[in-house]
Amino acid sequence: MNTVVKIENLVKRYKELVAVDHMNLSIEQGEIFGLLGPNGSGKSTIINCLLSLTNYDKGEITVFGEKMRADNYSVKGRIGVVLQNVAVFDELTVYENIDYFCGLYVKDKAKRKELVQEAIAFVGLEEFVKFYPKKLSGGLLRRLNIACGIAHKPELIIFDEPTVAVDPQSRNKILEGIQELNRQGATIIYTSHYMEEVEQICSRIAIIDKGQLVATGTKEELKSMIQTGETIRVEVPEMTSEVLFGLEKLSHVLSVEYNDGLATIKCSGGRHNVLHVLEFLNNTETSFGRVFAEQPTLNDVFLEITGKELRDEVQ
Amino acid sequence: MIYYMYRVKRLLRNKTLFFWTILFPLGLATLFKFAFSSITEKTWGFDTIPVAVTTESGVAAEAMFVEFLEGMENDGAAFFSVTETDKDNAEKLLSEKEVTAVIVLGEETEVLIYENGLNATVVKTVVDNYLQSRDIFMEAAMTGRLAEVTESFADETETLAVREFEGASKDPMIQYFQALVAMASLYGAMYGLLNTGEMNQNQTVVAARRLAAPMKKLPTVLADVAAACTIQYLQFLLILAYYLLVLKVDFGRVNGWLFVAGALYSLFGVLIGYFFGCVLQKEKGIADSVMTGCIMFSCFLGGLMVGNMRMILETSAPIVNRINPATLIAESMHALCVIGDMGWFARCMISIVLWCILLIIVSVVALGYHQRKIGREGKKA
Repeated sequence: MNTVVKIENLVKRYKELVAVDHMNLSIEQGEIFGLLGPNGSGKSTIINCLLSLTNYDKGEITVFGEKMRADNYSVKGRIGVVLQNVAVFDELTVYENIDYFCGLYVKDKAKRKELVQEAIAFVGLEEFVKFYPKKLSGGLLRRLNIACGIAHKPELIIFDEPTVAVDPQSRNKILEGIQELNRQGATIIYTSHYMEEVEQICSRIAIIDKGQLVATGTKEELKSMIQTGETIRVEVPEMTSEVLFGLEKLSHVLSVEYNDGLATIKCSGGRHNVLHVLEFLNNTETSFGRVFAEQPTLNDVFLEITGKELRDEVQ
Repeated sequence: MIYYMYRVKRLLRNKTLFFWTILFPLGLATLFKFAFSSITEKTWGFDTIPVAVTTESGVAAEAMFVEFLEGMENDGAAFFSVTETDKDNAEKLLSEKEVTAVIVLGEETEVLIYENGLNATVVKTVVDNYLQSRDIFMEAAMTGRLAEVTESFADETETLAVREFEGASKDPMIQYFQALVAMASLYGAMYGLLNTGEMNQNQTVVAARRLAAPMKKLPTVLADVAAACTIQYLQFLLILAYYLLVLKVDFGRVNGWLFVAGALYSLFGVLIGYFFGCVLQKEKGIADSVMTGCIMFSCFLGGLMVGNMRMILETSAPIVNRINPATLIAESMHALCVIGDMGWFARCMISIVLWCILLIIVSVVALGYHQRKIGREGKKA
């Protein structure tokens, strides 16, 4: 596989604040690479450095094998950008907006017309081409924002939190669209603080906190980095301290918490954990209700590595 | 080209700008026209200018001068209605506005006026010309070249003054309309300010989006400036056409130079917007308010609210008239269309060009400063 983006030892400071702290990343061709981290973790700063929208203090960024600079127009021409905030002009119609942004990359008018039509069809805005952005709903605006970023058929597309403040239906369409773009050959960088989205579409994920790379790998690799292999939740109306102690002593059980009639049992990656727990409760004549078993999430990965919830940071 | 075309479209479709840069100057001009029409009808006539000449000494030169004035004609009508009297009576006539000016003859010839206006300017110019000619004759007499000079000057002195004002505006309220054109031109700053909102990635999200594209900065900035100037110039033409064709404002001589000047006024206005946008980049709201305030103050000094403000400043603080943007625009039009003084017009144009150069330099320096600051301190796009 070819490396599309290589970030080496990147440091970006804003006065005393270290926004990106010795970051190393490598993104391969054909990947959907997720940058996951809470708000303020440095994701957008990395993207800004990558696009040469801001200077950085140290390190090197290589895109398509060339050093990325503000005046490296050949590389910039192969990148598409979909920013978190909708970047369109209120005075231009849907068609004109897409044509304008496509025109920043494609000079040939006939080719551009073709690309614009394709982009409109891709995001499903055919009925709205003559609408001004103010007349569009939030979901349609996001689709327009995406169309403006992808119309020139870039090889590398950066999506910076494209689903913020989007309804679930539009969110699913956006995620499906991103996967389709990836199938068509584009390499994707997807930043988000929504771990479910990252988990759903990304082939590789980098978890970032306070400007530092916490972990990187596929979701399976990330989950295997932590001790927790399974979380079991059992409704137990009453639990004695002996039963609690007994549960903790079971093999593969890492920790047990009991709050408000719900026992949360974290287990390592052993097999038949649910069976062993229920067997124990049965043997100790402890009555129980519903049982839930969950595989570890990226939040568990983030929690175990950083000691805090990823969700806590979500605004 | 796509950059330029879409920028033009965007600026044209901006309703707020459309109101302030087109509808507002047109509306204000319409109001001015209605407000001034009755005054104009009552007070103005270019038929004859009443002047008083003090002829106390009784020397032949005084009689010659009076004869000269009485002999001046315009389309068969006397240019001046001359009252020969003593100085006290002349001043009384002036204070009662019976005459436009008093010409006090003597070793130091003086022209006393009650208020500024075209008539007063005519009197001063004629007297200046006469005095210059007189000096030439006196010198010629002393050097024995009187006959030669007399021949060459035969009819020239008389025609000089008359020719100079042919085609000049006869509207005494013309300075208000000149000031309005100046205001409309300076309102082009709004286009410039809007454009600067998309120059740095920290200003708007579309600015960041544009900068991520493979576009060189200078051509895009130039395309933006060109688009703003195009629209501003079209507006200048529209406003001028409205004044001349709809309101029938007598602008005086409207020749090709006015259209060249209009292009420079448009650039000047747009660059003022760039200046404020680049210097006060962090706070667009503040830049907007400060810029509008400065423009209105400049227009006030240029005579938009007080008609004779330029004359007041000319006597108390002439430097203001030399540097105030609105005054430079209004005076260049006055020099070109009313007085026909190309030297004065050129001086105004040069001052505007110097202003433009200064605005460009400061804007570029400020832009660079802010970009470096963003790099150091950061601000998420």
